[in-house]
Amino acid sequence: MTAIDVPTRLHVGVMVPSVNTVTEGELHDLAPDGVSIHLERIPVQQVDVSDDETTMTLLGEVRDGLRACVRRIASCDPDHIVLGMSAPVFHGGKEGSLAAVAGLQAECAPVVSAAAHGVVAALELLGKRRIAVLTPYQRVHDEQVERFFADYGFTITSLESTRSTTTHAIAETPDEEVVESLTRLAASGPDAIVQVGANLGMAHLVEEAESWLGLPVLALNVVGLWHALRSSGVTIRRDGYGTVWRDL
Amino acid sequence: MRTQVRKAQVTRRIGVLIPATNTIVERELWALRPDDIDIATARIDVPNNSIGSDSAEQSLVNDILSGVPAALDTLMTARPSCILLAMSAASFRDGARGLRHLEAELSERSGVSVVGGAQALIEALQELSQVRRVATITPYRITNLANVRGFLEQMGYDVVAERSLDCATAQSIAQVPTSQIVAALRSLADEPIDAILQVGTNLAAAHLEPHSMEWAGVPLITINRALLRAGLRRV
Repeated sequence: MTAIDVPTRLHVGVMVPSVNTVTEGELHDLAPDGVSIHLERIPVQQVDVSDDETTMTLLGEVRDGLRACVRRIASCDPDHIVLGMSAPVFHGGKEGSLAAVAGLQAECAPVVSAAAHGVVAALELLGKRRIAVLTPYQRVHDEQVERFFADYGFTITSLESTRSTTTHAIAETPDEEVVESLTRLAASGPDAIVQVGANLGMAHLVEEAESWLGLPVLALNVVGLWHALRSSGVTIRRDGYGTVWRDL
Repeated sequence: MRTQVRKAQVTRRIGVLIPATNTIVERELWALRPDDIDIATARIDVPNNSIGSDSAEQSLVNDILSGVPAALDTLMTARPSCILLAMSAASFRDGARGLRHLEAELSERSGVSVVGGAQALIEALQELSQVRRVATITPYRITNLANVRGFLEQMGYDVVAERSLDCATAQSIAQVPTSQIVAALRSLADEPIDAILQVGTNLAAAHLEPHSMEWAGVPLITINRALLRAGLRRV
């Protein structure tokens, strides 16, 4: 939580689909003093994501709103813009993800990065190649998540989804369910666990989960902000949010 | 470390609309909110950021007002239970009656309670006893100042002093240093006033509110704190 009487040294813009109710709170909690979070929503209406078709309808709405959203968030002059959501970045593997970021970078002056690429950067710094992945998605997105990490040379030991049926249900996933999934994923023998899907927040579970499981746990929102800071040359470390914020 | 938002515990969410250029409302509201209150923000498109002249300032106000409905529709998908219009000049422009009309219209559109910045300030003033004469600290020029003054006078307050901080762009309001705001507060110490109102949601003044008796000898009401309290009464 950034203090209100400290001048801001880094402004971080964050884009999420409008139905996301998790990323904003997690990033404001996580932001160290002097780091200001500025959020903007991509207008979407598709709440039902109970199958592949509805999931792709939502993705279409997100893609349609990306460019206008990046221009709005750029107008508060942030130093860095993070694509908080992960699905549009995972589609098309490594190449597709880089093209998605480059397309938005062309629209604005601040540096644009994807939280998903932050996860790759953190895993590489940690030297972890075997990962287990937790998602809130339907199969159509899970396949793209697998392809993305495979393209970057990672081996997926297991992938598990909460298979949430609405966008709001993703945000309301009980902690118990996340903990059970993490336990099963850890049993597949990975070097690290990765959580994707920005609205499936688990920032408050990362530190404890790492100590139970004996593995780094990389949650998308947590790592996305870490990556924005490090990309901007800000090296503040923090306790309470796992290996990445504490050690990297 | 501050208690973190635990999803299961959050039952009440305040929706906040800000001009896209604003960088202060978010950090002040998030820092000051109670732990069991969630905040969802959406931004109003601001195509032109100049406030270097009176006419530029008025076209910014027009842009903000015309962008409210679209931003409100976007914000409602996050299911907030009330909405703060975290903008000042736009909420003062059409007087007390105009703001009531706007709030009612947006409330009907969204199905939840909507409160404008000017109304939040009035509610904060009404919480203080025996206030009649006020001073304002704003980032405004002629027309916005007249609108703020007119609104307050309609509500029964006398505006006896104004301190205006000159800013060239909407974004640069956020860069006004604390020392400049404190100097403005101090300069009001000898005025015959009962309270000071800080207007302009992109002016970082919330941290000064608890200290105003030291600087100015009278209570200070800062707009973002007033908005948060107005939201907590409605959420």
